[in-house]
Amino acid sequence: MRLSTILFAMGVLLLFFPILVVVPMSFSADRFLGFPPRTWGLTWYRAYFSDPVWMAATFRSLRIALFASTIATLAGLLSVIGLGRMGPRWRAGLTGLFIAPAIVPNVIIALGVFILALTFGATDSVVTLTLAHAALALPFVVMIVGAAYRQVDPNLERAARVCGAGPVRAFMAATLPPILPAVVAAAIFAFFISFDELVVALFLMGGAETLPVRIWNDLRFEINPTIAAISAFFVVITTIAMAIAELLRLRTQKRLR
Amino acid sequence: MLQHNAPLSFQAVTKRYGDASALEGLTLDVKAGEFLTLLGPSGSGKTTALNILAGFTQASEGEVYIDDRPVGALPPERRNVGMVFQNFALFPHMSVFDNVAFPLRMRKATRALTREKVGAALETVHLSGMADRKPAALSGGQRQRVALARAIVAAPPVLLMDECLSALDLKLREEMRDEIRRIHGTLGTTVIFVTHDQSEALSLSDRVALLNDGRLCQVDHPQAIYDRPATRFVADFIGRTNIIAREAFEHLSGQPLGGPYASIRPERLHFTPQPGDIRLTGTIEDLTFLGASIEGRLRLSGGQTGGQVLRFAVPRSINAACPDPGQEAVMGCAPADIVTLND
Repeated sequence: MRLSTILFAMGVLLLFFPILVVVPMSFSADRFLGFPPRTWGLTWYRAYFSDPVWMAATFRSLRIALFASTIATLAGLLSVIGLGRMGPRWRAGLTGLFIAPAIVPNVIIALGVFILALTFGATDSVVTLTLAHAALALPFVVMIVGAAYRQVDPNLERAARVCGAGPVRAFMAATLPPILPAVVAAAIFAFFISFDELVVALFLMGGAETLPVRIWNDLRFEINPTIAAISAFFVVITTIAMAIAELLRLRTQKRLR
Repeated sequence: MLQHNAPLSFQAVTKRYGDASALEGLTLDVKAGEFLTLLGPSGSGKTTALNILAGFTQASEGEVYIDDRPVGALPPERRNVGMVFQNFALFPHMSVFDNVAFPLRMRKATRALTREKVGAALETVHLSGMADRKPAALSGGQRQRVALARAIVAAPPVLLMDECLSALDLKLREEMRDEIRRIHGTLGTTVIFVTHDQSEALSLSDRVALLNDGRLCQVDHPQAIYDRPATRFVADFIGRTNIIAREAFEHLSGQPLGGPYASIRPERLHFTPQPGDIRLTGTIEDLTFLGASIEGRLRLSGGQTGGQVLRFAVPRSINAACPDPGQEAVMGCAPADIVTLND
C-alpha cells in the first residue's frame, strides 16, 4: 500500500472515530455511558423521544435554526447582489467585513453579543439568539452564494432587461435560477451552523435551553446514553442534509459552466 | 411581417469615467430601417455607444433619441429595442421556446399569440424543430439563431447587435452574416451592429460609422468609406493601403497635395503606366502568387522617397509579365486613385 493511501485512511479514521464510538453506544441498554456497551437495545432512543425537556430543547433549536437560516440566506443573497454592483475597492473591503464572523472565535462573538444584549435588556431571548446565529451563518452564505453569483454571466440580466423585464423581475428570471441550488445549499449550511451552535447559546440562554445547551448541561450532571442516541440520530440527519447541500453546490457549478 | 421601424439619433453624446472619456461628443443620425455598423478597435467607444443606446450606461452629456423621443431617462426595459449579445446570453435554464417567448411574456402577450409569434420567429431563423431543447444542447450557430429570434420576436423597431459574430468560427460567421443580412431584408428593422471586424462592417452595412479613441472618424457607405477615407486612421483601419507623407508625395508626383498624407490602395497600382499617371520607380521585393492576383512590394528608389516600401496587388495577366523580385520596375497610379488624408 502506498504511503498516501495509508495517510488518507488514517485521516478518514480520525474524522470518523467519534462517530464510530457514538453510534454503537447509542444502541446500548446499559445504565451508564460506556464503550463498548455490554447489553443492546433502543432504550435510550425511547428515553430521548419521550422526555418533554429533550423534545422542547430540540424543537426550540429547530425553530431558531429555521429562522436564523432564513434570515442569513436572504441577507446573504442581498449582500452578494449589493457587493456585485460595487466598485472593486469597496467590494474587497466589504467582503472582508462580511466574512469576518467566520474568522473571529465564537467565544468573542458570544461575549460581544452578550454585552450588547445586556445593554438592551435582550438576554435570555430566542429572538436575540436567532439574530446572533444569523450573523454567524451570514459569512458562509456570502461565500457559497457569492462564488456562484460571480460565475453568472452579467449579460443574462441585461438581456432580460432589454427583453422588457424590470430590475427585480430580471434578477428573478435570469440570475436567480442558475444560482438557486447554491442558495438552497447555503440555507442548509446556515441551518446547521445555528442548530449545533453552543457557545453563543450558553451565554444568552439561561432558562430556555437549545439542544446543544441541553446536551451540555446533561453532560455536566449525569452521564447516560441518551446523549449517544441523540448524537447518532443527528449525525444521520446532518449527513443527509449536508450531502444534499454539497450535491446542490456541485450542480450549480455544473450548471454555470 | 410588416412593422414599424424607428429612426434614431445620438446628439453630442459623451461618456466620461473620471478623467478618461470613453465617448466624446458622438453625433450620429440613423435612418429608419438602416443597417448601421459602429466599427472600431477595442476601446474606441463603440460598445459604450451601444450600452448608452440600450440603457445599460448613462451618458455623461448629450441625449439619445429613438423614434424622435429622448430615451436617456428610460430604463432598458422601456426602450423597446431588441439586442443580440456577444456571448448570446441565452437563459440556460429555459428551453429555446421559453427563451424566445420571454420578451412576449414581459409584454403580457396572450398564450396563443405567444405561441404564434415564437413559431414565426423560430421559422425566420430556421430553428423550427428545436423549440424544446435547452441552450446547452445547441451548437454555437444554433444559439446565435435563438438569440436572434429572441431579439426580433417582439418586433422591436430597433435591433442592437454587440460583436455577435465574434464567438463563432469562420465558416459559421460567414453563414450567419448572410443570415443577418437576409433577416434585415425581411424585417426592415433599424439595426445597429457593433464590430471590430471591418469585413463584417463592409459586407453587412448600409453605412459604417468608424470610431477611434471615443471619437467618430467618418460615417459613410461601405464603398465610399473604402474609396474616400478621410483620415490616416480610416485609410489604415479599413482595408490595406500605402500612406505617403506630403513631401515624399510631392517629390514623386511633382504635384501639390492638399493634406499631410496621400493614400494609394495596393490594387490601384499597376505595371502599365498611362500618360498622366503618377510614376513610381523602385525595386520589386517579395512577390506572392495568389491565383487570381499577385501581391508584392515595391521599394522606392532615389531622393527623398528612398527606402519607402509600397504594397501592390495586381490582377494576374498572362500577357503582361510581372517583373521578378530584385528587378527594377516602374508602377503607375491614376491621379483619381490617390486620396488625400487628414491627420
